[in-house]
Amino acid sequence: MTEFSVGEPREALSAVALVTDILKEHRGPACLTCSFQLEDMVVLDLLRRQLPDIPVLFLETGYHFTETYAYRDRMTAQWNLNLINVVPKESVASQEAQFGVLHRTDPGKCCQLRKVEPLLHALQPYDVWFTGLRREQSPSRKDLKSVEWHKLPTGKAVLKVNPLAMWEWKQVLLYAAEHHIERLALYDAGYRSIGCEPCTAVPLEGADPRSGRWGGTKLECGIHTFSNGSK
Amino acid sequence: MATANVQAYIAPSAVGVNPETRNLLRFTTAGSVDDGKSTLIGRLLYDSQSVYEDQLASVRSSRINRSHGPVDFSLLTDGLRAEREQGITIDVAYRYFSTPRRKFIIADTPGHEQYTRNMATGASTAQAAIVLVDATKGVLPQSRRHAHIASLLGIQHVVAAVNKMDLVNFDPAVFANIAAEFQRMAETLGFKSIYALPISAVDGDNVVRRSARSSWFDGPALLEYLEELEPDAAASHDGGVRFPVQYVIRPDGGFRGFAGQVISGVLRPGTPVVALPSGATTRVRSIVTYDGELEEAAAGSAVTLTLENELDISRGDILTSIEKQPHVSRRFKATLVWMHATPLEPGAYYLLKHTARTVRARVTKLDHRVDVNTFTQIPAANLNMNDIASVELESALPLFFDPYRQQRSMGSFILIDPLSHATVAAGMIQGPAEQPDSSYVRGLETTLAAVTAEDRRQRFGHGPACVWITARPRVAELVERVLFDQGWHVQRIDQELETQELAAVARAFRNAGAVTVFSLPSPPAEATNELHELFGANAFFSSGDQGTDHEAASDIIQQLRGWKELHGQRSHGQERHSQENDWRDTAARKRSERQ
Repeated sequence: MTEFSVGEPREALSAVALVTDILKEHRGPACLTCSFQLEDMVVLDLLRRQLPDIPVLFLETGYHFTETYAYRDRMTAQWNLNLINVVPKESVASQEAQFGVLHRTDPGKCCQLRKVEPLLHALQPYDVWFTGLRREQSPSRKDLKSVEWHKLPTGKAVLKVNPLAMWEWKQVLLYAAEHHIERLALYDAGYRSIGCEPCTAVPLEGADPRSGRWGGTKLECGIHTFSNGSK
Repeated sequence: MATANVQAYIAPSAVGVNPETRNLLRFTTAGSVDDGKSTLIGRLLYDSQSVYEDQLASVRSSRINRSHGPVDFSLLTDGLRAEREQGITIDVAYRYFSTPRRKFIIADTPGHEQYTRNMATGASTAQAAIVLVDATKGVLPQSRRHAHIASLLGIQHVVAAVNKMDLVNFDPAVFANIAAEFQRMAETLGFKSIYALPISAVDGDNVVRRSARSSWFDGPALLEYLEELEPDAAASHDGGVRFPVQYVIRPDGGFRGFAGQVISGVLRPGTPVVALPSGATTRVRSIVTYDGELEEAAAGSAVTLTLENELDISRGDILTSIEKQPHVSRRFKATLVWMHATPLEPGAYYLLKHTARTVRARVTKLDHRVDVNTFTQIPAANLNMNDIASVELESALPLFFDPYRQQRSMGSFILIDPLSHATVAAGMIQGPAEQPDSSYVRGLETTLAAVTAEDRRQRFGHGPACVWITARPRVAELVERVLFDQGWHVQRIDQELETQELAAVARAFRNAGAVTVFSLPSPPAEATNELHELFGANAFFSSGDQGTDHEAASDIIQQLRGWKELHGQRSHGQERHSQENDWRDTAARKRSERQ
């Protein structure tokens, strides 16, 4: 694998140019993690123009909103997506039988079992990992780079690409409207950051968008912090 | 190819506006499965050198071989399948090709007869229609139907491509009979031009070049004819600006924009507009896109507008020019093409999707149906699959429209079954119903019944319920706010009342179909009994003593949403009982999960 300079010149590129650049220079298999939030749909729209078959990894925790599942299925049909549902080892029923309702008692562990571990496993075959992360989303993402190396527990380094790192929410909305990307109905109900149903609420007015997640007790599930930019 | 780009590219009003597009012809092809439509399209693409080598290589190496030619041209169009799947309601694929003289866009629609709907929706921007007729079968009812729908859609040029002439040895008599019958039929439909020609799509005769095998025929080949055709400039709309608002864009901060697609007219900063239904006027301040501002937005472009004044505009409203405004009416006449196996239920509510809005609507009058064999109008009690009829509709909210003949996008709509979400009909608005308002009043005693509980349920999407939130005023406020923002009919009561007063208030709100949120100390036993009496299983009591305000509110909202899901869209009273029982089970399960 060619060593790849991470950081500066990339930060200045537009999202479209960045996606084109990465796909041109980096020939290894690429994927997108997608929770079907609007950012993910924008990145997916950029990607599918060049890679219509890009694997779309959806962390199927079993706890998503009905609306999210319906939207996932609709968009998968409409865009003819190569959807991969990344499932945890245990079903919801089995996990609840063993540990009780973890999202109430220990949301960190719940995320670990249903999101982080399955994703680490699912990312293994890929060299490039696209996301819809943005700096503005929460304080924990304020130093996010457009391109970062992420090391998986197996030691493999994956190039993590966040084309919208510098985007404002306004640009996301405008891009989606211009490209006729229908959005998840929950946005119209006031939700701003949408994950599993039990751990997602409508944020209070003026609060940062991810404050509605995990009742404000935490901001990250762990999938974007586990490797923390390490080389 | 993204649907959005296609729509921008083929926007009907772009014709005659931009000299670039003057040399563009949009046409549709209609035929049944075995008429050879895919083969014809493949042949047009191949013979006009619009097929890439790799596409051809993959077709050559294909093991599937459906025709006797060296290359199965229908396979060239199979790559369109994915594109077909793009649209849920409008499954049409667009194919582009060009010759030195003209650019072409084909709206390709699947061939089976039951897919008449695709033709109706796909053909709506087309300037010419090619109806395939099988030389071995002659003019069939579906050929007549395709021609009729093309004329209803305002397509002015129709071509009968009499295909499979190779199977009848290019017999001039066979062609002459079919051409004459097609001509007789199409003449009654008001086309600007009708052209019939003999072809063999498989062998390529008369598709791109004239064929020696039909030396008795002296007309141009299909592509030559399409290159020469003069589409009508009148297809463009001079009725002013039409900008239906698809989304209100309100990120945090002061920005407030209205996203949508310019259907007709040209917008620039400073252009005066009126917002309907409010009628408030303002000017365009700026035209924004995700990577910068524009000086101008013409028909077909999808943009976001900011306005000079803060107006109350929501999704589905429309911005138009002040001079030429569209019709605004709840009652209108339309031509309906019924496209579903389940027949029309007259008087029942459907979802009507028109420009950027979806409203509930019902067919209030069936004027007549068209017999496709004779094109005569016959009285109709109902509409079945593929029927074409003239009807009157009534929508729950006013529509802003132009007659289809003037502006196709502003005059077309589809009807959707509210339960199955299947598209059941495509419609073209003729105009407002006569005396839209006075007849509404005059017909009161005969056509309009009193508003029932079911009518309210239909409008709000939920039935009445009461929610008692004990001693958590902030939780009650949050619940009310969130439900209200989601369009629920919800009312919070936080004034302490005597039991009898409380019962009267609860009854009044129940009769109004509302979800009443009592934000009070814990209810006395007799009040609880009263509420159970009034609301049965639709009475919810929350001690709300767990978690933060947010969590408690979230819990209650989740439960109510589950309840609404089970009850909201139901329209048949007899199902009520079992569903309420189901809900109790669900609620009990949810409660036990939480403990």
